[in-house]
Amino acid sequence: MESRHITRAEFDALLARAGIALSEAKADEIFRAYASLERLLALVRGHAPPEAEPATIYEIPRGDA
Amino acid sequence: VSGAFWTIAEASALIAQRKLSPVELVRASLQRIARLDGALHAFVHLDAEGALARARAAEAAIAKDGPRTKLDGIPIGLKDIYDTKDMPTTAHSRQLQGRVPARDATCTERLAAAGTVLLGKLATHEFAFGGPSFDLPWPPARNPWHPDHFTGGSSSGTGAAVASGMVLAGLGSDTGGSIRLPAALCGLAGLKPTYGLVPRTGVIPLAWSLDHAGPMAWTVEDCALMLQAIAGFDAGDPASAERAVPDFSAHLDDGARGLRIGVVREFHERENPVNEATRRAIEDAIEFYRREGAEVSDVKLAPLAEWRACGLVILLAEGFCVHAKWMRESSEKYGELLRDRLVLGALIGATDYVEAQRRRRQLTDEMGRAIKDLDILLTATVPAEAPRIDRVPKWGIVEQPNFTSACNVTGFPALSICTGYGEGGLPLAMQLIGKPFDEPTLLRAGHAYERAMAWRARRPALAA
Repeated sequence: MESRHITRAEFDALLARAGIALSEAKADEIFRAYASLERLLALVRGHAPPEAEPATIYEIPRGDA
Repeated sequence: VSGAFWTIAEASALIAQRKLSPVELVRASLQRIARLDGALHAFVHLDAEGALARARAAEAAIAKDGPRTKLDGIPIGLKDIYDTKDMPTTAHSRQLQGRVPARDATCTERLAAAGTVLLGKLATHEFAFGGPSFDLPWPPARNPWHPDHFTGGSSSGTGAAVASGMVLAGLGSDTGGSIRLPAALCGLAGLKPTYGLVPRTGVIPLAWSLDHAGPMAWTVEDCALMLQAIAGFDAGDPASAERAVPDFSAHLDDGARGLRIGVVREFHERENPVNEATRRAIEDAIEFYRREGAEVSDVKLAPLAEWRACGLVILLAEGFCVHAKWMRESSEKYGELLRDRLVLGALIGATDYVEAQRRRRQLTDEMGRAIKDLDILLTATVPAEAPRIDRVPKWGIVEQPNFTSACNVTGFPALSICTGYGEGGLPLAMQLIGKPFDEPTLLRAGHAYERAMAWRARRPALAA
């Protein structure tokens, strides 16, 4: 699983790309919370081989319940 | 009528026998709301006159032709993300304050057609994600078992209103646990149905691929009756499943004998250890099922943190997409908590969102394999009794594990039921998980336990 830790400058760039303007104090707070999100992102990365497709569907038994 | 607590099943039987008047039942609810809602803040919009008019109409129709369904004349409430054409639907947010939708949500329509009497709209965490918040036009709902304590969320008002007897049932929505968590902390039964079973048409979204609509009621039996009214295909919801709707009450009384139950012990014993009262209650429930003739075994799933991570990455990314325009143009209208949480979603890249969806497929397959030769998985809903409302951490959503996200990731149905009360007098709970579209078995398992316990006779002292 791949874990990354972005810098504050990279964090500010992400905010700018999203069109989000924050006060310095608020950006500081959310930057700290983002560290927890980074740990979650690391948990979803790298599990699936290239051929594995994403799914927003799942298999269910056919026929009526 | 005044002061009595009814389940839907009890009230419905009395209404059918003309021993209970829907008008008197609604009046009793309104009296209870008048007495309690100043402290509990369950309602954001109460339509007392409209409710009485609907109750009179129901009573007249029942007198003429008998009840249409077992919900005829039953007072209910809706989480304020279900569109209602004759009253505001705001998602508990300044962004939508004063909004009156042009149409009812499909669930709103179906419940009206079943004869329910809608009393009003119930508090929610802002847009089903930002709560408990204290800087919104309406205060957060409070737990009827102790108003200093959290209801759980996001279907907070539904939890408070049902637990206090203001309504006999209501609808919540569940994207990461928002039906099951308030059901657990308020001592109710709460069902997150299979993804696709209940249409979300006209329900304000949080994260499309995780959002579920479902019932919250005092008992599992009442959840089955509510589900009967709202389940079934609707073309307005692209995820709606075209399947026949079974009779959800048909097997309620079949008992636990023969059920195959897998206990996901790792979840609640090691990865997110529950407190002693919760652990003991779960063990007692397992022993109950064994005694009644169920086969119980242990089951292992991927670590709890991975289910949570997968669900939350998808939730945050889709959630920001829902709110991107407002976040850029009128973010000052949000409460601080929701606004700050939504920012996290803006920081998730496309690759990570797709990675989460790829992981989701693997996890869904894994849960399918785990339950293939079983009927039910069993674990905790919450680790302990409700905390104080002023001690709910703002960033708990990214810092703390939870037991509920797994079934939003997979879409499998999950039911939270009360397992007694802790040292603080607040409810305890466990979670039962079923196979996709096998709600009848899930409800049967929950009802078998619930009817054998004494918990349902106990109501919050404040509401008595």
